[in-house]
Amino acid sequence: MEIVKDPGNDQSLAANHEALLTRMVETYEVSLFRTCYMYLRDKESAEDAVQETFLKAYRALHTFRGDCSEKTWLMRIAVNVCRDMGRSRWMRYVDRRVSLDLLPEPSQEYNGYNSLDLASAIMQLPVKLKEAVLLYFYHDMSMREISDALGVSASVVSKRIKQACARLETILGRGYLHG
Amino acid sequence: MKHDMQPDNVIRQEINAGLSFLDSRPSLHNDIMRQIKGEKVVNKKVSLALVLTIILVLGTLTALAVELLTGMQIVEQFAVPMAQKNDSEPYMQESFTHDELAQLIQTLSENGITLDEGSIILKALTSGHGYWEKDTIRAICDLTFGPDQGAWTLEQKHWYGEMMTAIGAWNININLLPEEGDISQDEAHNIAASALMSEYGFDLSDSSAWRVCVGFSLVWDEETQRMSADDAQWNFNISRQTNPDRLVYNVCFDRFGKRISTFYYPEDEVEMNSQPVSLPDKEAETIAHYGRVYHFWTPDVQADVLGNTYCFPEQADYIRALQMSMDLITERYGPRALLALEGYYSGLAYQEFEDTEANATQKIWDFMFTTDREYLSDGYRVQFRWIINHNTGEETVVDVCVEHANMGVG
Repeated sequence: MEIVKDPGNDQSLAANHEALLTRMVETYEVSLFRTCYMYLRDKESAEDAVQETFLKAYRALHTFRGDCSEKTWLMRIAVNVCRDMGRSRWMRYVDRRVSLDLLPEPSQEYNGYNSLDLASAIMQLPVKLKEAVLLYFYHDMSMREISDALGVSASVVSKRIKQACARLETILGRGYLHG
Repeated sequence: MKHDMQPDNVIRQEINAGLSFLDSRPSLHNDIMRQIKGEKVVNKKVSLALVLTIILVLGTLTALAVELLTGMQIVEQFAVPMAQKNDSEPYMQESFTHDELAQLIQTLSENGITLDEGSIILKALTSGHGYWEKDTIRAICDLTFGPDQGAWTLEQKHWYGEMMTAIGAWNININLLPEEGDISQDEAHNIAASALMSEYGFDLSDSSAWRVCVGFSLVWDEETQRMSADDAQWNFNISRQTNPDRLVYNVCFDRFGKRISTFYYPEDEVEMNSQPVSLPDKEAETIAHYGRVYHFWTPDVQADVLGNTYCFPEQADYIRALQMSMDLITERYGPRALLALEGYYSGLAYQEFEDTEANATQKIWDFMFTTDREYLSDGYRVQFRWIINHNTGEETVVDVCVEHANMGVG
């Protein structure tokens, strides 16, 4: 579905945008939430990321030119939001003064590393492979759409998906994905 | 193409089943709309000149007030409660938000305390960011007690430790004050002076040329692997006023005055900081902006300048690698080296790339721990490489290197 630009007055434009936001939230909220969770491995951060994604989308509705699908556009925003959030979380770890007593405990947010379930296996993938596999398999986006969303070529996307599949097979056991 | 792979249904189903506890939030739409309608058009990026002007005006006006708060009071009454409010993950370094930072700086200025124009905290504020809680509080302490933390009094060091503990930045306050039964600071000074005179003929009373830093702190107990109050130690570190970072004499004794060690570091030895970190000229601009040691650049800048193999590690990997680097430092230099890391900055240059031939991922860790991010005159550097073989799932660690921070960067 294309985003319609209302040529009318500001009020009707705002109403139109609000209606679009409502529809986008209804359509994508849950899948975005799960994607962000797999990306950030933290429920609260994922909630924040979803809200931030829709907020950014709403603010940028007027700039959407329809060069790609609405879903691709939204995913591009979500990926960037997650990257930013992951980055800021990481930075909080790195640029800190270290002391003996302050050595961090292992993260307790997600304890799925020993579990062989698919979700935890995907969450263990490096970010680049995780992005590709989530957009391709979970969001059912085409190589071209993923390429648009991630800003890399389609061949790079294809390579990442293949690498991700190989990794998942290693973690989960051969034939798991096709079983 | 898609049909060749086909596990998409499996993946979608399993993710949905596994993450079914993550469902829609009925209030999301309203929350977003509330945020949109409630938002004000505020440009958070205020010019430095404007901030300085505001601070100057406020500072001048409020300097006339009768009772101004001291830096210590501002930390206790404003900064620490604000930082405690943010404590979500105690092992993490937390940040003040931009608004909190603005509020704190305003409180400081209202009480006649102004940050230097070049202060990194002011820069964070003017560029619309927040800043680390611990470093913000430290900056206020620097303004209050002076920038040379080593030269702070025992009381100031102890108080600072209390504040760090209160915000969760330290687990325990290692900076002690003498208690009943302990020797006093004057007695400790006399013991140190006597030791230096008898060992090296050095006169501690000639304080005009020398900088004397006194510490009374907890020490690491190897047996219990904990900080031990029973073995608290006095440390007198003496350097020249003209070169305060270069330690010349050290005297260490226990809380009852029993001497543990004395050291003299000959001044004609090559200084550790004499080896500058050099990088190609084209990076001069980056270095001028972010400092010479690339470990302390943000990963974005590392990737931009040094190449795109530099990136962010996964959080869980980072924690494991940091722990491993600590273990390596302990193994090589002993637990005291770890103890010394209190107050050090940690930087990281992390690279990750795929070795397609070997079907493996290589993760290269290069940690730097130092208090001197400019010259690396102290601290340690730890490097190692993880190789994860995707055929076997095996993870190996190779090329381990642990050394003093200023070796080999250049």
